[in-house]
Amino acid sequence: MTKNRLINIIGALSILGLAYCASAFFYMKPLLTPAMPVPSKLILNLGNWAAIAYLIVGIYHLILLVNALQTISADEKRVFLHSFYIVALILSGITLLTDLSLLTDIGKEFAIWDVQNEWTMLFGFMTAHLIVVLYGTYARNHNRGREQKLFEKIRKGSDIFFVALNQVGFICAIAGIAGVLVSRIGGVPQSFETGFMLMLSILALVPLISFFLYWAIRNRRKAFSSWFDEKQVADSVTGAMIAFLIALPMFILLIAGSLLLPTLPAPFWLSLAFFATLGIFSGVVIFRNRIPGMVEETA
Amino acid sequence: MKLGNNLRKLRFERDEMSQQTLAGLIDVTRMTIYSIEKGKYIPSTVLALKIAQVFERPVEEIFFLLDENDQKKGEK
Repeated sequence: MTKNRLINIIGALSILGLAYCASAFFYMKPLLTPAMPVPSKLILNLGNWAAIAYLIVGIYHLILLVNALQTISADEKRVFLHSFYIVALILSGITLLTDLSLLTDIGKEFAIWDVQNEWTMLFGFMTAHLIVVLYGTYARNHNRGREQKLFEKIRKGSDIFFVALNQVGFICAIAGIAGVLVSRIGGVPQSFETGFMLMLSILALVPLISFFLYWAIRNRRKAFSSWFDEKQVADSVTGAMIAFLIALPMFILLIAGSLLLPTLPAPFWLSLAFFATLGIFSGVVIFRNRIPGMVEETA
Repeated sequence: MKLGNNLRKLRFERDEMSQQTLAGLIDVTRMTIYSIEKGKYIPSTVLALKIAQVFERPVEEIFFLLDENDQKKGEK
């Protein structure tokens, strides 16, 4: 059996596994109430199979991530979509663990508390996993044969990777702002709000940190000063300067906002300011490295 | 004042050397070469000297100052 065939089988099992989990959870949801304090044997068996399905989905996420990093330069015109996919893939992978935590909560609390919110979050995350896995399967087969070695020595400051790094930063910034606003609008209980916002902020940064680590590992044998070429350094300096200039009045507005709306917790303002600054920085660097223009020019 | 250059012309005279090849020879990215050619980025002295070394020409034959009139003529 070839490697590609094996991966496609794991992919098919993942999609089937997610469909199975969705069906099993839909079946369990109305049954797991205080009226049935101890789950039936059938529900326990369904749960055990769901655990196996989650394991396969987790393995497939790792396979897709390795493939996504190997094929990042396969299609220059779709780098942004690819960066978005990498962020979605990492977040989906992390939220697989959140699913397990939600399932544990449901298992422990269904007999005493209302677990409707946990079920809603679980189904939301599962939909996201399914979309990511389906797109990942398509992207992997579409880019087949265009993989490069994962940690191969790259030319100084590879332009595609540099742009992708900043695109990942930009998407993380948007995810961070959206996460903070959603947690505010979504009616998270006040006692959990600070922790929830901090958790979302960290979660939104994980893809950027992971991608930067990947960049660092690829360049591990080089001095830090040679990770970027001189234009990339100049673009980063411009990005930092513009982000700083915009961040200053923004901070004043946020301080004013925190004084006018003292009910909002400090992490709300801090996260907003941090992600907005990150977004501006990455946006400027991406703008100064517009790849489509470069492709047209050299064609 | 802007910095003009003959980089594109010199590349084509050198067996139609691609931007990627030139970038590889002087250890920068293709984007940097593209930006220098378009006049969007002014290279450092070190980079200008490296480029001159590749084409075996003096730096001033590759890079030159453009005054505003030259620029307008170029745009026309």
